Amino acid sequence: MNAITLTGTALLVVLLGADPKKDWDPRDAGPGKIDVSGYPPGLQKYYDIYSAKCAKCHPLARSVNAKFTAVEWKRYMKRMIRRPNSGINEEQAAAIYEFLKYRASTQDM
Amino acid sequence: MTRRGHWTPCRPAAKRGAALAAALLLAACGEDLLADPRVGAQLPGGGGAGASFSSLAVNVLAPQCATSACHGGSPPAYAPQLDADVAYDELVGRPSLQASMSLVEPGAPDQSYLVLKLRGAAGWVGGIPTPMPTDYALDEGDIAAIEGWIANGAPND
Amino acid sequence: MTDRRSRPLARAPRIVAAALLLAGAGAAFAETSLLLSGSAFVDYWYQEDPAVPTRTPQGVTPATSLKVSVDVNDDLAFSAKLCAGCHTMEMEQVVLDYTPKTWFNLQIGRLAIPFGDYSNRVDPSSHAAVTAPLIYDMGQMAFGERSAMNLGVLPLPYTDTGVMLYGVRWLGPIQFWYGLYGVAGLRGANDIDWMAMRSVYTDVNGLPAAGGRLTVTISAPPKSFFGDFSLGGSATAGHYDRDEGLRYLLYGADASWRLGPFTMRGEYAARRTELDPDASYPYELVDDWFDKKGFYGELEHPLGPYLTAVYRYEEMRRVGVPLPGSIAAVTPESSMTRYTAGLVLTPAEHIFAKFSWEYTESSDFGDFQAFRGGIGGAF
Repeated sequence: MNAITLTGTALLVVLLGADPKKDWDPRDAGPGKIDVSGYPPGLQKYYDIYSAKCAKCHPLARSVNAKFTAVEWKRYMKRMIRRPNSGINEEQAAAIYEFLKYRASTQDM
Repeated sequence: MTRRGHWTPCRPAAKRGAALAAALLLAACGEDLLADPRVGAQLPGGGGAGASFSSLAVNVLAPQCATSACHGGSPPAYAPQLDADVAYDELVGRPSLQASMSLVEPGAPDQSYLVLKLRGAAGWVGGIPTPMPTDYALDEGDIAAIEGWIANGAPND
Repeated sequence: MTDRRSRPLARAPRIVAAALLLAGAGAAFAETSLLLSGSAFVDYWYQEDPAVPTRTPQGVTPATSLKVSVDVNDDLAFSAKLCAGCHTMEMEQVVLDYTPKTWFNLQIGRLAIPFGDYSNRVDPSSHAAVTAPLIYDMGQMAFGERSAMNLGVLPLPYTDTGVMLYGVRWLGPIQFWYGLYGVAGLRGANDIDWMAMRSVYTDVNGLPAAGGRLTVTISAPPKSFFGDFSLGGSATAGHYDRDEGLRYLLYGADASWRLGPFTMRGEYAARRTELDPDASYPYELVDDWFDKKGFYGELEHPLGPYLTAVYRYEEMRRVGVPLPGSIAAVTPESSMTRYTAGLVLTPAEHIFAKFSWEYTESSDFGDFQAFRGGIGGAF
């Protein structure tokens, strides 16, 4: 399989993964954000930390569209806060984790 | 005659102490690192860069490519034939059968399919990715010598 | 007589299959989670000057990556990343990651080496311009072939086989990150052979190379106008030839700062490389080493929710005797200055499109401009 075929396959996977009909919310269109208007007030504040800290090295959309369980988020967060220049201290990491754990529960993950 | 210089003042005391070499080098060699290297006069004829084709054919192509199972004999098991007496005509300016480029493009080693096969990069240009030789890597110096010969215009010398 | 070394690249598909089987088996027995992620990017490079494309990669260039991660437990994870692009298929990462403490973590395997801030943003979805900075370019710069500039200071991503110790410590709002590694090192015969770095994974001379990186980040509150400010330093050194006679030293510094919607970045990197004193050079050899060094400064800011603009100024110099076999244009002091302006469009979460204009002034190859466009996605 040459590089162009593999690239085409990967692009197809990406497009299929966008899954436009199932779970698509028009408020999620664009570069990647979450509508937290229905979230508890405390978690709405945590969204500010999440959106500021989790877009430093990659688009926020990467985490917005990741369908992880709470346990998977805990382990993933552990890796992220160990990245160079992450700027995420343990208190912020805990807040981000609480937000993502809640979001996972709303997604039935 | 210009005295040749070597970057010596910061050579690590023990070869196996490389783990601290970077930090020590930076600490001790700050002034040395700021100095640009000195270069002498340009040499006539380009300084004889690269090996001659006849030496490449005899020392590299014939023993490692022109075997009876691969690119040796007439006709060879696999094109092109790379026996020393015919290799030049089979390579220089001849189109590759696997990609839209020449096997050897005089003056352009990165545009020469032969080099891409030796470096395992033929898939880049839509060719067959299998590197040559198939089961081991050609010596770095031999590949560099072939590239140098091509960069110098691929003369039949 | 040439050593009959094996071809790891030919074994890559078997390595991938084994890695995936291992990952699958691990997931079956692990407490949880097999994660699949990846990205794809295809770009097109148009050169206005017809003389330039003869010495540059041109046209369409694809790059794809697929990564499998398995969390064995809270402290142990395995990941493997396969990349396909201009070097065909290669295992960019095969890593066992042990993370018992925030300040003490260990990676073993084929690692992504942390050199410079850009090493965190190598993925096409993580940086705004279409191309990498010249100092970190891998195969996308004009006149970058071995007989000309031989690419940048350190083409990224730099992946190597070895061990890395790393961790994070906090002092109030200041984060310190460190990484120390011992790896196989760069390889080549007379100057670094960047192509061989992607296809041969073993140490060329049995002598490990060493290096490290240290970063300091002042972490800002989330909604502050004055965002995170980071400073970093990187270095690595070793022997790159089979006979253990030729050394290299790489070092660099980087800084980044976000001010409101503006993100500013700058990096400097340099490499000193020893040369074979017995080779034949086009100039009289006085000092048997050469330097390659450069820097870039970049500004990035959004233009609304779907568009990002990026501007970059960069310089790179190669100083020292040209290599044997260099084209006649290469002189002992060769420099390039490039101006880049670009846009990134992100119409949906998974997709982005990039456009860049570049103008290059070079001392040895003339001045020229180019246009690039690309489309990609990450999942």
